[in-house]
Amino acid sequence: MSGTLVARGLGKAFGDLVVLDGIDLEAQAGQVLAVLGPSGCGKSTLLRVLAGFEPPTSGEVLLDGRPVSGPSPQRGMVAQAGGLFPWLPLRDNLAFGPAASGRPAAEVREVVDELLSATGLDGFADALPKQLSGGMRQRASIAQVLANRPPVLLLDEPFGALDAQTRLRMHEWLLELLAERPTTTLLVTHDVEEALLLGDRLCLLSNRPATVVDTQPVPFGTGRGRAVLADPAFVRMKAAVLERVLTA
Amino acid sequence: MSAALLEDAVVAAQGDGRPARRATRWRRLLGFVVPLVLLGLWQVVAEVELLSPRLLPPPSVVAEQLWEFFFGDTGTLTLAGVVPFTGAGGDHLLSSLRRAGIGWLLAVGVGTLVGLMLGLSALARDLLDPVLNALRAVPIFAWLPLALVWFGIGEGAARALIFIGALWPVLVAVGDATSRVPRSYVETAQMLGTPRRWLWRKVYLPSALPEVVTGLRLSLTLAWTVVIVGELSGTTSGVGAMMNAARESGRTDQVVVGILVFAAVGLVADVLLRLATRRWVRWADA
Repeated sequence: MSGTLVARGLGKAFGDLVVLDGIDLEAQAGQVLAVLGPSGCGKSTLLRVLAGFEPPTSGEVLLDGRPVSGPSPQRGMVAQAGGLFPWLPLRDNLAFGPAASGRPAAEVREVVDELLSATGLDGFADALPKQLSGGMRQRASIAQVLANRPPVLLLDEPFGALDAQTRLRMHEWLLELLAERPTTTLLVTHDVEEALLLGDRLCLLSNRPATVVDTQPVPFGTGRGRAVLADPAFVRMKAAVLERVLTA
Repeated sequence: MSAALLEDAVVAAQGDGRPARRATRWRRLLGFVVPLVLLGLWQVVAEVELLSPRLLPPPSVVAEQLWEFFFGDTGTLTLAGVVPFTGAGGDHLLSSLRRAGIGWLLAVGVGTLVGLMLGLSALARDLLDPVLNALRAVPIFAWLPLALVWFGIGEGAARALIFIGALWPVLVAVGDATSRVPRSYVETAQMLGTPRRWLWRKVYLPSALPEVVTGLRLSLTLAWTVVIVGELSGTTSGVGAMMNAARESGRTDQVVVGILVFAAVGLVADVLLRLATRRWVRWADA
């Protein structure tokens, strides 16, 4: 299976401001790597560099061993605000990627229909983004990117603006979705619970300039749901990781 | 699809707001109350001859003249001079519309091109902004003498004035709207695989359109306003020319007919433009 994303010695500076300082990380094919770090440490910048929106000042990004640069359908990114175009009905938003790469109309329709049902948005194909709830918009944004079948999915605090209950439902939905279509996922978040719930591995960043402090596996297995939240081992790990983030 | 997802689907579907829409419909009817009351008052004031009919002809007479203007027998000449009135309404209106339309389309074309340059290129902005701002500050009437010198009394001067008057709203709206297209839209489109040459049609244009349409509407209103300036400057056709001739021969009722025609056409044009563009700007409605 392909889709291994590697950052090697990745550095990014804006003028004198060094944001990323030699980041080394590896998102293994089909797995979820949760990147945790203190607020304002440069997590979003890291993701923007990985997505190709910003060129790195040093180092390189490799997808399956090949260096990559510039934005590409191979690395689908969803930001906190989502990526839906407000002027397009949901169906056209989901079709945007496949249509841009010139897929035949029938195939595009098939992909879109499938994603509409995978996101529970079957009845909203003709709705404009502003007519959807926050949770629906974020599911649709992820679907919009998945329509291109990217080997790599980059998520920048995609559920950060949602209330706690909706966020938990989104977590369970995303786990389900990724189980059905394994996609290498790099999830940037400041929410420890989110990281432990979704991640197969955890990557801890330091304060700015960000470096990788630690990488560790998350030992709670696949098929997690809200049940794991009450697991004493989960609670202990959450407290320990939170402590490390706060003192990073 | 899980039950949880169904739940928020239902919540979103309920946010349709039917009662609010019904209330708006009533509100719209309210808009007719004031004109009707004013019309009544106007008739009463004219009826008791509070003001001389020379200053304020009663609505009934104006209505009769309005009918004459469009549907009267062209054989009976009611106005001395070169500008016909009876039965000439259609011709005058067409001639005014053509004038405004040509000037407006010219303004839309030039305004869009220059606006795009300003919106996309910082260099163009730095070069042109000061000049354009200075030109924009010149009142439209100030161009009149120059337009008369350059283009002579009549058609050319009228078109030039309409063009200048209608140009600024388009230019400013297109420039502003394109320079303010959020970077995130462009990035998302590129990330989804949109080739650079398509960004225009796929992102910039639809994103800028609501603001551009507002500019087009304002510009159309201005074109229609400036038509009368152009026509008062000495054309022999057009609603403005008719009004000028009517004033010279003391026919206030016919002057009022002209005002009514201008109001009606302006209103209809605005509504038509809004309807024509509604599909593309619906997403930006509050």
